[in-house]
Amino acid sequence: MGFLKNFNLIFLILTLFLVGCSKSIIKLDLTSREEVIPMFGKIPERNFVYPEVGEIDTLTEKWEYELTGSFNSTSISVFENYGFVNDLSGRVYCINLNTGKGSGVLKLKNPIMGTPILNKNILIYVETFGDENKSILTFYDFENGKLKDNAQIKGRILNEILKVYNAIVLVTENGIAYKYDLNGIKIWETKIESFVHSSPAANDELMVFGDDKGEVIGVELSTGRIRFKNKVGSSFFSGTSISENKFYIADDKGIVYCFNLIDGKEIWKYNTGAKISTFPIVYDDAVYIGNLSGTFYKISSEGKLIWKTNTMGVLNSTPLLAGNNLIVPDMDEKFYLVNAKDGKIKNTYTTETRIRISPIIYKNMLILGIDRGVVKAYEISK
Amino acid sequence: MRMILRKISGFIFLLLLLSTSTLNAQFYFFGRNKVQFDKFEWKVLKTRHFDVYFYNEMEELAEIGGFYAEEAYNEYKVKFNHTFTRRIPLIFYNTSLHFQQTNTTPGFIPEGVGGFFEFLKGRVVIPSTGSLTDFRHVIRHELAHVFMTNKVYNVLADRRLPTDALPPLWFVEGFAEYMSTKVDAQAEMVMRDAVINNYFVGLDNIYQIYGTFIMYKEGQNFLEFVSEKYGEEKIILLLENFWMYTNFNKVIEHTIGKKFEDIDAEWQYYNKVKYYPLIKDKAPQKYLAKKVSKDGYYFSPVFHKNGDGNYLYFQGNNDGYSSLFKMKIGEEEQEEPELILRGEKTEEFEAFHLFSSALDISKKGIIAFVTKSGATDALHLFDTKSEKVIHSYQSSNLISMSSPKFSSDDNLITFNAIDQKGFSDIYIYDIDKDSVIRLTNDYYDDKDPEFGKTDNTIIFSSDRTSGEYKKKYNLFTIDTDNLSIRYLTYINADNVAPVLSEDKNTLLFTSNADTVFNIWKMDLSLPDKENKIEKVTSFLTSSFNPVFMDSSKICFSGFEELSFNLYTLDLKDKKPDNVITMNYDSVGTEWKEGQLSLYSEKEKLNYEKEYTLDYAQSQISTDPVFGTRGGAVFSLSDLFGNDNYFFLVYNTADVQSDFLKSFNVQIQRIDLSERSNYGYGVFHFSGRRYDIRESDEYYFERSYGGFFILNFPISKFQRIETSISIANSDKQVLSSILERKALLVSNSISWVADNSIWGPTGPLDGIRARLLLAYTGDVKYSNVNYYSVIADYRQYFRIGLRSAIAFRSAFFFNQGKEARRYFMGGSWDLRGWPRWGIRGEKMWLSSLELRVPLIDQIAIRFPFVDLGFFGIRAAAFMDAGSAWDDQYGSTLGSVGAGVRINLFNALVFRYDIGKKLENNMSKLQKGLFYQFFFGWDF
Repeated sequence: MGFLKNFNLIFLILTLFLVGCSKSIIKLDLTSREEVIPMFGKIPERNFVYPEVGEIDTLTEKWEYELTGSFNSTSISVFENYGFVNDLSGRVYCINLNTGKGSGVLKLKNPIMGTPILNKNILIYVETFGDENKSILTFYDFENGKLKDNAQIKGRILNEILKVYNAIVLVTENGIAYKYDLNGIKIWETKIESFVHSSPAANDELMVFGDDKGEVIGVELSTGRIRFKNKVGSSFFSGTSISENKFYIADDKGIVYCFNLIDGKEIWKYNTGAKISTFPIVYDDAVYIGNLSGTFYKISSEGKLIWKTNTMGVLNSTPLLAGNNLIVPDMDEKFYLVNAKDGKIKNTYTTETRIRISPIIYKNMLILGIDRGVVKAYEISK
Repeated sequence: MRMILRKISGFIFLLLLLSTSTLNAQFYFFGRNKVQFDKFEWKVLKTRHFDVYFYNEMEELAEIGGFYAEEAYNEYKVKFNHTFTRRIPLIFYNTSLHFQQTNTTPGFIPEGVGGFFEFLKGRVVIPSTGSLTDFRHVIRHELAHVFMTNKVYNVLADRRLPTDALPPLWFVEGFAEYMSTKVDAQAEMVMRDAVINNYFVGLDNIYQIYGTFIMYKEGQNFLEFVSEKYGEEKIILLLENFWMYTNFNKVIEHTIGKKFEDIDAEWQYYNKVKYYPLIKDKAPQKYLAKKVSKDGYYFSPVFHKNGDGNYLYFQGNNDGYSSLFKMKIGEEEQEEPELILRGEKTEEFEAFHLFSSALDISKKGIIAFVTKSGATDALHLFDTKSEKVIHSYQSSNLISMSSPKFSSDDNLITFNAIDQKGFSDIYIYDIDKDSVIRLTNDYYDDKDPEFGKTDNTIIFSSDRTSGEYKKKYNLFTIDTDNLSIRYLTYINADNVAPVLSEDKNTLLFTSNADTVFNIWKMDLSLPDKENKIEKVTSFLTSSFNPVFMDSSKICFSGFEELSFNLYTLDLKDKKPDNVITMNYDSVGTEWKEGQLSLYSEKEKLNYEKEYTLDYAQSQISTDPVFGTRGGAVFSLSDLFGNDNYFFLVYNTADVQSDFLKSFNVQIQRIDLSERSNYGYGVFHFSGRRYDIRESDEYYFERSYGGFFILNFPISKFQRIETSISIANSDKQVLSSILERKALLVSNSISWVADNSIWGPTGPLDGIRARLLLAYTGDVKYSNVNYYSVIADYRQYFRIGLRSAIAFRSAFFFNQGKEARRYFMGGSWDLRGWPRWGIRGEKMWLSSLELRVPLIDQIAIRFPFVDLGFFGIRAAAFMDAGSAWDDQYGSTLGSVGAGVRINLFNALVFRYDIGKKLENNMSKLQKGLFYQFFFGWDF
């Protein structure tokens, strides 16, 4: 028994040594070049819906992969069969989603707060500095395993960045919106003059988000001009989602807003009573959203409650809608399979610790991340 | 954090002390005792997120506390965006007195500590004060600490950054106050006083008030300012941005988006704007009333006319001990308070509860007051003529008592007390029958009783207020015959400390209706006037416990310029500042406290011990004499810190073949769960030793055996210590081939006393004493056989608030075969002489030292950092002593002076200059000696 313990210790030390010495490189042999999930929320409008999945019966653990640091409420981007995930210790990992094995890692010195973006063979991420008020936007060629371009940004990026057609748009914590082309050349910058923690969404014309002052802001993508900046509520820390000509966002007091995308005027609002930090899911004339006091809501396109379910937990990661099923992550070490029609919890799955990463579905697998940097995959049985 | 360090250092000290107890009996410590008067039968209530530990009859309080904790958890999980992956232990005590017995922290818990969060094991320890509002506040405060520390830990751990950092203490405590409560009368009182009297310090100088109550309130005030001016979201962002900088000031700068200096200036301006206008229609007590005491901490005066004059009797603290005082008052200049009963030096008067209990005096001049006296509080009757306590009442069921008041015929005393359940109720004590009747029995906080217009009515303050002003402390009356209770006041404020005039027509009380506590009155002469109350003072800060001196003149205690003083005021012809007409329409039914909602949320079990690691450290050292050696020390204890295990292991082998026999191991268990503390253990020590006492040589010794210790605290101030050890000792002096085998049995018994109080560098008042008797014998070979006597007496004579003359006289005596030598010399005893250079089987030592303050604070401001040194003290000393084996030699001595600086409250740096005395103290040696040392004064 003692011998086994010694063996485990030696194995652990060797593993740490080998991991510590592994090279900072991601170099992949690409085949189909399919951008499966190129950014957080798949598209610039932010969409967390997988209509093709259909009914989910049970979920069975398939594999797990351990990273160095941990996550904030971020997610995983997918290219071909490779998942790319950031951590807060300054790593970007590439995982073969079929096998759950690592396929490379980029080691950086500062945290990466948002989900990496994929554009063909280019990985785009932002390194956020701790002791300096700056970030570095980096373009990395993962087909050749080489750094392509980077650009230094004034201010820290603490939210999710966006790929909009042939450009990257982002908003810093100290309130500067930027647009860069895919070679790292700045196209424009616009001062918002307030702190921003909310993550933006965009259509082909406009980027929208909220700020800490409780204003909703629309910035024209082509020019960087602020089209509207309307004070509506308390601080916005949630993400923004766009559907048709409306955008949706929720504030610190738990009020979910629907605004006209053209002028930023309020269409309706619904008070959930507790802070919201996730993105709203907008699908089929309904908004799905949960708050930090653990209640999950389905709200109609007129701003009326359809149903609500109290989980008693803390819902701070964006769920997903797969067919008629909602996968709702709970920081209270579990996630729920919820019937999207009536809000009934069909099943509860516990995890070892807090869920941090917003789940995605890749092929027949549900993938999410938990505290201390563990990515887990579950096989979906229908 | 300080608590952790204290705990660790305490364990190490204990371990070292015990591991060497048979070898170094010369070294010992004094110290007061944390007496375990009660054996608690612990149970655990399991709620959704908490393990709530309670004992005996506290089940209802535990359920209410569990409800408060879950309520706070649900609020904080949203505010912090955070959850826990472990269950949080909450340990509840029914009173502060029981709380002071806890072993979850090794240090003493002062009066007034509301609870604490202990970082090492994540334990939250909270007593009931009888007030559910206070109980809820403290639970919320401590849970704010729990959430904050865990959130900060995760912010750092997620980024693989070192996790041993926390924001500064002013922020930690201010944050917990900000999260747990709104600004109350106490916070407002302190902030008003600090700003108006210019002792408010900004962020840049906040280190000057480190650890003080003002620091808590300034921290809370700063966060109120940030929330109000920059948005509530900034508060949690200060934690979420904690990873960005190692300097917390930069975190503040970044989060708010302004320069630190500008934020600091804005905050100070914010407070000036807020408080300066108050001066327009409010004034400090000293301008509107007559201040009759000099700066001190004096509370709850009572007035009595004696044949020779008018006297105020009151409790207070002006020298470190809470005590009872009297003061003659007249038209001319006031006299100094005269001490009539010293507290905190004996078990009988172990502590006066200055902030929570008032006094009363009968027409015959008998003072009724309460002190802690052993396991519970006691109600004492003190005759002002003979200045003696003539009677005391104590009950094991009434743990904590407060605010006694005499009936009009002086035969009865009403008071409030907290029982085993942890709830405060009203009682009547019949002096002749020496018996108590209970009037209320519920979880409402009933306090400050006063006999009403007749002796079968009692007026009291209670949070039983229902309806619109739910949980506010209003005044009530209870009929002692039928126990019916009715409202006397009904307002949206806390009304406390009612007192009736001699003609029973005027009722005075204090109320925070105007934010801080001012004095109000109610006219009881006609029933229809009872629905009006009038504010009679408009002081800037709070006033407490008014009493009538005659029909119009009153005396009270007031808070001003950071001290509590006594004031007199004539209410004659005084027009009311404010009148409130009370409306009882919105009185509802009695309020009920929330309950844990689901049955499945509560599961009650008996507590079973679980041990977790307290401390572990390993070390490898290389020494030119002893070679390379490595070892580890670690300790385990149960949740309550009652059952402790200590392990010490290291190896002294020089060659591989000696490895097994060169293991040095000690395992011991210390049980602190009951009044008698005991410990036992086994040891094996092997290796080279240096014998400073005998031969100044190295020798090899292998010893193994076991020991048992038993300590019995007689009171907080005295204890009996006993120990017995048996050790097989094989000793070999290396330079010769001398070998000595022995099976040593040592036993000792000591009496230890300590009621001293300390200044920044050492004791200033009280006594410390030890008398030890011991016997050591070799029961197998008769190689060793001697007895020991040690008598050490130290007394400290106050010659001023911060000055003292310290005296020490000690005698050490060993007699018998192979009796060990004592030694002295050096900074700790006979100063100036070579360190440990004077040795003998017999030894005496005497010291006299004058301790005076020299410099209170030196601040050096470099462009990049500020340095501050506090509590610099001076001393002049004279030492004398001698050591001998058979023939007494010469008496040696020294005289000199020096300075002492307290460094970070952790140690004292001492530097002495002096001259040595020889030839029986008749001759001064040439030249001066210079000596520095780190250590506390004797």
